[in-house]
Amino acid sequence: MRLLRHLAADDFKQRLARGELPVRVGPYIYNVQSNLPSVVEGFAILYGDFQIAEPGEFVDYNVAIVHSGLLQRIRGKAKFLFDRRSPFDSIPAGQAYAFLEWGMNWCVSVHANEYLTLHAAAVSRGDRAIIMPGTPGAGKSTLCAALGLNGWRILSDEHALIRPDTAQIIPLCRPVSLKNESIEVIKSFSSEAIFGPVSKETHKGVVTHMKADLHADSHDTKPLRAKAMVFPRYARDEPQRLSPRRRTDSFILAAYHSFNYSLLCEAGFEAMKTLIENIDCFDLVYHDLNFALNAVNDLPDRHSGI
Amino acid sequence: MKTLRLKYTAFHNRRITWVQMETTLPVRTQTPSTEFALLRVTALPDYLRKVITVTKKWRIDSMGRFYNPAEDTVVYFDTRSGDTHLISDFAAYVMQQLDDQHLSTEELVNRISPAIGSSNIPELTMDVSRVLEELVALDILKCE
Repeated sequence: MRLLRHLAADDFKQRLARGELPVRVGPYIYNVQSNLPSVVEGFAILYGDFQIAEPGEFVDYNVAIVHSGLLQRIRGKAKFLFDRRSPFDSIPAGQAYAFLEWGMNWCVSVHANEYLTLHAAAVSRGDRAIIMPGTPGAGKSTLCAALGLNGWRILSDEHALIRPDTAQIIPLCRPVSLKNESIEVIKSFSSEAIFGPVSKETHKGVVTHMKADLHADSHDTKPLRAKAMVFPRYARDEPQRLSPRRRTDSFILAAYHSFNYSLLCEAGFEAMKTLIENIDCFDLVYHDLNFALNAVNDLPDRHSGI
Repeated sequence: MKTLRLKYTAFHNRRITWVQMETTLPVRTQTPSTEFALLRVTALPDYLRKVITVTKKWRIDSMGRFYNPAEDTVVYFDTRSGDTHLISDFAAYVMQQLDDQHLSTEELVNRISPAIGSSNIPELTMDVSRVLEELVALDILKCE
């Protein structure tokens, strides 16, 4: 098993520039191409422990982030390419790394319809997996990063892939996206956090990514059974609490957070039904990360049904 | 547009028929155990002769899927439209009575009343009527 960090620096850089670096990411293989310094640096830091796929293996997602011409280079712009086509407008080269990650998210959001996909972080401890859906700013990534730095395995920061007709989550471990205040929160929380390049003035503000494969089993692709769904919400001025949610309300909210619930039609309904009826659901309102960690840590034990 | 409530001539078997003018909005009856028909009368001078008694029946074209975990709400997936709705357990129960059947409000109430142990027919009729109107508004239910 050959990891990205086993490559010599020059070899890594050249293969990345040529687009000959297929990497296993959960159930998929991404082939990434870029010669932009921030992408080379970020990919080396954050994906060093990812496995290189064997030559000839099917590549699910061919992505690149490059200057598409001399003019773009002069203007300091870059383009994200998927299968050599550009689905988005060009972006400032200084935001290239963040855009690579967002582009890689987009690949899954748009194409991974063999699963019910939720916009959610997912973590596990032992054989217990917890899904944490949330709108941007709800604090799911911050909580996910803190849990990852506190012994939990990060299954995903962005996509909970649910195998239909089961309550199983397919791990898709990739770097955790942190933005604005949450970057300092996590830096203060743990000195062990490893960060990639910082992208400034993006449409989400200042963005960086944290290395997520901190657990011994981070790259294990075996599905894990979901035990609970926690809807985190960061609220500075509200009392902190963990409270049970009704399943029907949770169904509707989880469907809202799904990328493809509507697309899957009846299969989506059945997949969501199977998931929700096999897990317990909670609201988590927090402003103190330690409160949130304790709440999630205690979850399986306090609710023996999970 | 104005709503014009025309004179109704039929009042038998607890059915009141509302006849509605063209270019008017639907009129909703407030009387328990009544039904209304949305009929168009094109010739104004003749409207009195065109009053017709109609019993409205409710139907569901294609019964969707329910997720009912025994809470007071139920998730309903409309297989026809692809929409998902959070509805009350009472609304779900009313819908399930319509499975493959066309029933009037009165027939529905007669079915539901013993099942839920309610003898207050006027109140139950109001509740059922309200639920039916909401389900029509959500395009889950049709009337004929």
